[in-house]
This record gives sequence, structure tokens and C-alpha cells, in this order.
Amino acid sequence: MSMNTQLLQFLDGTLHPEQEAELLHRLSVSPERRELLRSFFNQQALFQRDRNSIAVPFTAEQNLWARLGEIMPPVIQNAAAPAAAVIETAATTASHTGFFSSVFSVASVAIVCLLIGLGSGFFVGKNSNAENLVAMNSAQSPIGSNPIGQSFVGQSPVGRTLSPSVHSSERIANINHSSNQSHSPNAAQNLTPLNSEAPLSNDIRSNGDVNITNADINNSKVNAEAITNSALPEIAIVTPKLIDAGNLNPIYFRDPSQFYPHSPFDPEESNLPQKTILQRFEFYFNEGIGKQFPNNAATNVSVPVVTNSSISTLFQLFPRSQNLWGGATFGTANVTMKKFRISQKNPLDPKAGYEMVGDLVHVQTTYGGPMLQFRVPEVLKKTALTIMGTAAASSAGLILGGEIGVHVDATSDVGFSVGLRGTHLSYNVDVQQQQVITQGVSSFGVPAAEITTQPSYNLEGSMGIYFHFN
Amino acid sequence: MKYLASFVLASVLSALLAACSMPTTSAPLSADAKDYFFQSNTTFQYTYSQDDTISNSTTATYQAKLVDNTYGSYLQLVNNQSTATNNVLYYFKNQSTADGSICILSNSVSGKGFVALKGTLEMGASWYADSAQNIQAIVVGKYAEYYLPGRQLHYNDVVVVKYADKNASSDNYLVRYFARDFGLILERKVTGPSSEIVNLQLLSRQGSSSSSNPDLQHDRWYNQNGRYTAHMKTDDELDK
Repeated sequence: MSMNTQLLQFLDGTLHPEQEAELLHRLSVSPERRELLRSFFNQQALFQRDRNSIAVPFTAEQNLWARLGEIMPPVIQNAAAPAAAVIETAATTASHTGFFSSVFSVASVAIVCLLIGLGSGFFVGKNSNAENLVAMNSAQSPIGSNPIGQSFVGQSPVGRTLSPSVHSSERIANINHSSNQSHSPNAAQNLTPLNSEAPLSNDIRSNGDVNITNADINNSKVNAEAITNSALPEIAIVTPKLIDAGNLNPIYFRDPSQFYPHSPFDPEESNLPQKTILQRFEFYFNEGIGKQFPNNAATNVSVPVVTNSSISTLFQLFPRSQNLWGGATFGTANVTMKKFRISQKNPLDPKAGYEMVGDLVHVQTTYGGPMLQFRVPEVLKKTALTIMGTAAASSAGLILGGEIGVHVDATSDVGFSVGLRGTHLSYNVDVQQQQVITQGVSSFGVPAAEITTQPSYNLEGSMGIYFHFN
Repeated sequence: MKYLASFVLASVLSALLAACSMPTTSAPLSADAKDYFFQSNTTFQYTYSQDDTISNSTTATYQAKLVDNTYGSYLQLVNNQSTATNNVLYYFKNQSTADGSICILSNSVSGKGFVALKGTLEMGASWYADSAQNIQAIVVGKYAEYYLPGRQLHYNDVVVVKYADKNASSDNYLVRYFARDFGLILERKVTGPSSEIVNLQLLSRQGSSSSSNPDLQHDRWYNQNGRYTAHMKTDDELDK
């Protein structure tokens, strides 16, 4: 069961107690889910405000029904009665059902009201001997095919609007609820129009538990009889166009279960609310302590304590997936590089000649570049596992880096990260060698070890702090 | 489990990426003596700068050509523009033995010459350069690049051989530098603790390396007509 469904059932009061306890626990430890719950509350408030804004005054309703009573024939008045009763009953029942479920039934209620309006128009037109009649096929009644039980579960504004007139007309009485505490979406079907004065057909009278669907269908039959002599053909003789199954694209016949509706990265997190742009940023400050390679006795003595300092920012690339993050980093790193010089091959024998020597020295370099992080969230409580790659341009050369680490939320806004980082610096020695060569005239040799660029590596423990907007 | 698998996959990909960025080392070239000696190519012209004892420097161009039949299969570097009687810089040839190549240099047509290079030229490799075993040659340096005095010219893959006479002072010796595919590029003569003469340095070489007389198999000998002659003996062997 998804988190959305659980929250809806929790708000509707239909969630099982054990699941409710589990949900409350999960809400207590997850700021994102609490945010989702708040969003539902906000939606509820919005719907309530909208409902209040479109309320029709009682007097206006009275006037409307009075005018309708004057112009409608008796059959319409009688036909409208059960519908109004059903609406009233649905409204009464809906008071015990979930608010959010009713939201989704607004469209169905609107369709029913539209049909009622069309039916009224039909009878009005018939009384006025108009030629343009609306044909309604009882067998294909939209009302009958509509899941009206679900449609009327909600506390629809229409139902609430119509209810006073129904009471005032007293056309329906003794509405029998299957249960006042029932939360069944089909509760509206269990109605018993016992009022003998209601102009329902004998079929309805003989069936005490007939539901509104059948009632409307029978009403439609009455209407159909009334239009037998109309100019338009019955809908029943209009056959739907048949399409050869072979002409359909097979993709439309795929089982919907084959489709995965959520992100492939983290389907569970698809239930999380979408973050704003600012909330998808994280800002880091990192320090690295480690060892540099290649090294010798001299560099081992002079190795700096802090080998890397950086500030960086990461951006959650997909709104509902916390797996992929991209960003940029800027910092300063201490790396080992070669510095060249020409020296005597044998200090005790000046005639032995000269050769080029490459010394390993520590160089402080400034770098900047993009970074990409793959994150496995919630490996442990508030802890994510991260693997990150960086490619940066620096004053010394190209730096490629990789880091594996963890990412722990200390609070909802601040956290810290630790990891093991390796960086690789590649640089060109040609320019530096040429500078050395042009500084003298004596002959000299360049050993093979000094002719190639020796890559520089750093292996560091990385620690950092980050914050983000929640 | 799914996340763990994804994480492991990402880690493996990162490791592969890092491995791809690792520097690769090419296979080392052969260090056989013949590779560092003059090539048996008669189209080559060598231009040397030569210092004399009074610090005068002269530049001359020498053409590689075969010696006449009276001198076996030696090639010589002849200064065609000189009218002097001694217009040959060096006579040279190489031959293959079970111990590797032997490269012989000679200063005169009547001399027996000396073994300039022999076998595999690794650091510290040594041999006797003369038949009397008075001159000991030893490889004292190997460089990926060597810059000649003035640092205007440099050659790749150079071996440095020191020739010392056992009967002379330790401060008196000769050092020759041989570059792969070029041969002798520099010759230094040390005559004391502070005295040194740069006798010879190769300024340029002209000619086609794909000429009609390439000696791809140094264990074969060709006469002056270019015909292959098997089992040709060296001059030392002939003198015996």
C-alpha cells in the first residue's frame, strides 16, 4: 500500500489500527512524509474554502424549485423526487465517509446533475411540443452505467444544495440507511423509497431494496415510452462502430500491470512530495586528510596535514528521486609534482657529466569542476551511502577524483559526510623541462624516468558538513 | 538489495574508469649494440663538428661508403671535400656473434680497430675494446634524451660508454655517446681532473633510411658489389 493511500485512509478514518500505528511511527521519523500529510491538510482546507464559496443561499434554492414546480409536468416532478432523495441520502451518508474520497466524485456528481438537467429539458420540451427531443435509451442509460454509488459517496455541493428543497417538498420520507456508521462507498445504493405517493413505477414499488440505478433506469423507460413517436430514432438502433482488433496497436492491449508508474531509481520515494528548486540544493564544506603519491623520504617528512579543502554544491537531478545528484566543486588541494633541474651526475667527478633530475615537491593547486553523485538513501536511519566522481581543472593539471562515503542527517537542515577519496592529477612536464634546458649550455642527459609525466595521486579521508533548505 | 547491486555496479564502473586513466608503459626497445651503431647505409651523410687541440672547431660532412676490396667489408665515413690523405673519420662494421652484436670502429686503414659496442648495452655492461685487453669499455649511462653542448641538438635513446686504458692515469679516458639508429653522436676526451676536449659531435645526418642498401640482417655480409657473402671473417680473424 502506498504512502498516499495510507494517508488518505488515515484521514478518512478507515485505516486499520495496526497500520495506523505504523503510519504514525513512520510520520514521526520522516520529515518528508510529514510534509506530505501537511499538504493533504492544505488541500482539505482549500476544498472547504471552495465549497463555501459556491454555496447557494436557501431562499434562492426555494425560488428555483418553486419555479421548476410551476413549469414541470407531474412526471418530471415525480422523477426528480427520487433523484433528489438520493442526493440527500448521499449527502447524509457522505458525512460519515472520507472527505478525500468525495473529492474525486465531484465529476460524477456533475454528470448526474447534467443528466437530470437534460431530462428536465426533455420533458419541458415535450410539453411545449418542441421538435428537438432528447432520446434516451433505457438500456444504455448513462446513469445506469455510471458507478453512482461511488459518485454519491462524497459530500457534494450539489447534494447539499438540493437537500432543502427535497425536505420542503416532502416527496421522500423514511430514507433507510443501511447503517448510519457505514463507510461503504455503496451505502447510497441501499435506499428504500417507501413513500407510496412517490410516482415510481410498480417495478420499483415491488422491489423494496431497489437502488437508485434501477430507479433511474425505470424512469428512463418511462421517458422512452414518452418519446416513442418522436422524430429521432432510438439510440438502441444506433450500433457502435466495430473496430477490428487487428487494426489496433498492440501496445494498447498491454497489461497495465506491466507498466511501472514510478521512477526506476527509487519507487518508494515517488510518494515523497516534490521539493522546490531551493530544497533540492545541498551545500558542502569538506576537508581531506591523507597521503600523497608518489613520495620519497623528503615528501613524507614535509607532507601537509590537510591535503584538500573544498566547497561544493549538489543538486538533486530528479525531483522525486534522491539517487542522482549533480553539482560543482571549488577548492584547493595539495599534490605532489615533479620539479626538474640539471645537476652533476656524480658530485665527486665533475667530468662525469650532467643529467636532468626530477625532484618530488608538494604543490598547492586550486581546482574547480563538475561532480556527479549516486546516493543510496536510507541505508541506515538518516544515513545515505554515496559514491561520487569529480572532474576538475586545476592550476596544476587535470584532476579526476572519486569518493565513497556516507551522508548523515544530523538535523533536518544540517548533516555531515565522511568518506574515502582518491584523486588523480595528470600534468605535462614539457614546458617546465624546456625552461630548465634553456637555462644552460652544457651537455646533459635525461634519464628515462624523467622523460615521462609521473601521475600524482592523493588518498584521503574526507570529512565535511552540509546544509540544505528544508 | 536492488540499491546495493546498483551501488556495486557503480563502484565497478568507477574502478574501470580509473584503470583506463592509468598510464600505460610500452614494451622496452632492444638494447642490442647494433641498434646504437652506424647503419650500413651508404646514402647517409654525417656532419660532424670537430675540435682540435687548440680549441679550433671545424665542421665536415662525411659520406658513408664501402671500403675497397682490400679492406674487407668495412664501411667508412669519407670526407669527399677534403684533399688530405687522411680524409676518413672512421672505418666501421658490425657483426653478430652468439654473445650479441659486435660493433667495430677503426681510425686507420691499417689499424685493427677496437670494439666500440658489444652485446646488450645495459648499465654497467663492460668488455675489452682491444685484443690486448688493455682498454676496458663500460656503459656508464643510458638516457632517454641527450642534449649536446649548447643544448640546441638532442638525440633520443643514448648510451654512454667510457673507454679507459689500464695503463694510463684514471683521469685520462675517452667517453663516446651513441644514439639509437644514428651511431656516434658525441666524443669527449678527458685528459685530467679539469681538462676536457669535445672532440666530435654529430650535427646532422642526411640520407634516406629506406635506401637500396639497408642492412636489416647484420649477421650477413655484403661485398662491394652488394652480393651476399656468408661466413665472412672479421679483420681480427683474418690477421690470425
